[in-house]
Amino acid sequence: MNEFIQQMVNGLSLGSTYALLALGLAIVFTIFGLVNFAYGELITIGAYTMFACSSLGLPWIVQALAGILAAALASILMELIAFRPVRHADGTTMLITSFGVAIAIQAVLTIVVSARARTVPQPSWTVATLSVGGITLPAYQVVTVLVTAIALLAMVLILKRTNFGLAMRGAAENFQTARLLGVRANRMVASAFLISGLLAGIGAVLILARTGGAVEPTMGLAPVLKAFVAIVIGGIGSLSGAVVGGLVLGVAEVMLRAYLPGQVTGLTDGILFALVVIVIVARPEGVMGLKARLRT
Amino acid sequence: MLQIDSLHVSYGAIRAVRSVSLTVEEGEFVVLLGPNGAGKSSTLAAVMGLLKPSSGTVAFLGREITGQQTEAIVRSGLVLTPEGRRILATLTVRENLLLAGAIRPDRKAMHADLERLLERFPVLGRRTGSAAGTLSGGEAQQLAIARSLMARPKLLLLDEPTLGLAPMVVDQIFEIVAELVAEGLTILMVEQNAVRAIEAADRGYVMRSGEIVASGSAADLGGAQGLVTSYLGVNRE
Ligand SMILES: Nc1ncnc2c1ncn2[C@@H]1O[C@H](COP(=O)(O)OP(=O)(O)OP(=O)(O)O)[C@@H](O)[C@H]1O
Ligand SMILES: [Mg+2]
Repeated sequence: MNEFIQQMVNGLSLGSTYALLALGLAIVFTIFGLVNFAYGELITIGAYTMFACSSLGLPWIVQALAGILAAALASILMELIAFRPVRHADGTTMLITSFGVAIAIQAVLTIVVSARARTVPQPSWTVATLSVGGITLPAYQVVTVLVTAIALLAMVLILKRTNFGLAMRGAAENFQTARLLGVRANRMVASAFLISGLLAGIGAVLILARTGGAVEPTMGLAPVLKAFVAIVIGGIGSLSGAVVGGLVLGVAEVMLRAYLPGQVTGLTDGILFALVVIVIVARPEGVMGLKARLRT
Repeated sequence: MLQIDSLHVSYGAIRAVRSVSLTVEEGEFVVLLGPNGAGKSSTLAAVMGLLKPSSGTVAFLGREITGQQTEAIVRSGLVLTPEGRRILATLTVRENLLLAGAIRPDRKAMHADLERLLERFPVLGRRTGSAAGTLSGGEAQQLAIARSLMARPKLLLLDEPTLGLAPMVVDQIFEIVAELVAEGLTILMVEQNAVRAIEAADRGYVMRSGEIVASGSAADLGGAQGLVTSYLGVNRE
């Protein structure tokens, strides 16, 4: 039983990281109509910024804040430089642009830093454990769940309680209609990328805490794929669906790894992706039941 | 107040609007009539900056607005109630109105207007907290109009406000429009109930195949018979 609870917390911690990342991907999708595959590189940029700060000997908290800010800034610049010029192009053009941006960022990091993995030393609390009622839990997992809960709560408050959030929800449902109500398109898109970048940055900090601080140029690929799978599970175009999808995916991944027979644990991702295919076939609108609003 | 001059709009090879010129003066109620596919909505979309005209100009309050961002046009007081109502279904009735009012700097007056509109449209007042997607067609149209009014428009463009509504509800919408006109709001309305619309309006334009083929008052357009002629495509000139 204790082991099950430990696995569950582990799943929720991984799932909440996925939920956070999926939300960042979904926000840009709902507002801008683009699955931004260069989102993974925002995570990478956040992580490398932490690496740079740690090389300079700055304290961890400064590294973390700098990483989050760098990811947010990179996200805004990405929109301005790469996506704004192709805003009125078709979805395929934008998608290819996002792959191009991802490859360019990976190349720059490979050339400027190194293709090899580097390490950002993590603070000691990340490897500490907490004992709650006889159950031993890694501290980073508890922190991850808390940080995600706070970030999600902040998002909900912004979306539900502010004029800006109202405009964002309106624009997410129908961008053109929102513009007809006076919502400023450029500002809204920039805000979506800003929030997306902040979430990617927080995700980077949490991922490094989980992995012991390994950074490499291609490190963004796995998270962006998981985030994408999460929004597919939750129903592409739905923000709450992205969060639910992330949690489901994280718990499923940890549980499969923990309870599958030893010979097949290597197949966890394969099994997960197969499950996703089944979800897509059985419920194309996602588990939250919202219709896909893919931009044409 | 609104001046459209030789406007052309194309969708690829389809030339939907060809050399359309029309004006609306302050305080006027003007209708834009014409059969399906005549190019009426495309004209309004180009005015609102939703489509880029291939040539021609649009001026509002004496200032050229061609090529401006839609939101800037809306903020200058030119507001469209779009065809098909385009209610934001996932927002509540109140949120739809609040979002439309959010462009106004006078927040107190905006909230007062909101309460007044909820009284004026009792079906909305009873359902302020409901998701707007649950409204019936007539209710949604009232919300669409109320939402436009929240922006305090100087000129209101109404695109087929009675489309798909039951006869009694159509009457209700025509009454609302008449009230707005009586209050002094300037309106340019696209409407399928051509005879009824031209009789209520100060004057009208008839569009067919992308062009304006007739214009003037109900009498100028030859009443019901004249409209039928314009619609069927026999040019009166
Ligand atoms: N998005 C589009 N892509 C291609 N062609 C379009 C598009 N929208 C409209 N058209 C074409 O442009 C022409 C004018 O259409 P428009 O919607 O402006 O007409 P309308 O007068 O508003 O008609 P209705 O009374 O049916 O609303 C039509 O031939 C229509 O098929
Ligand atoms: Mg139309």
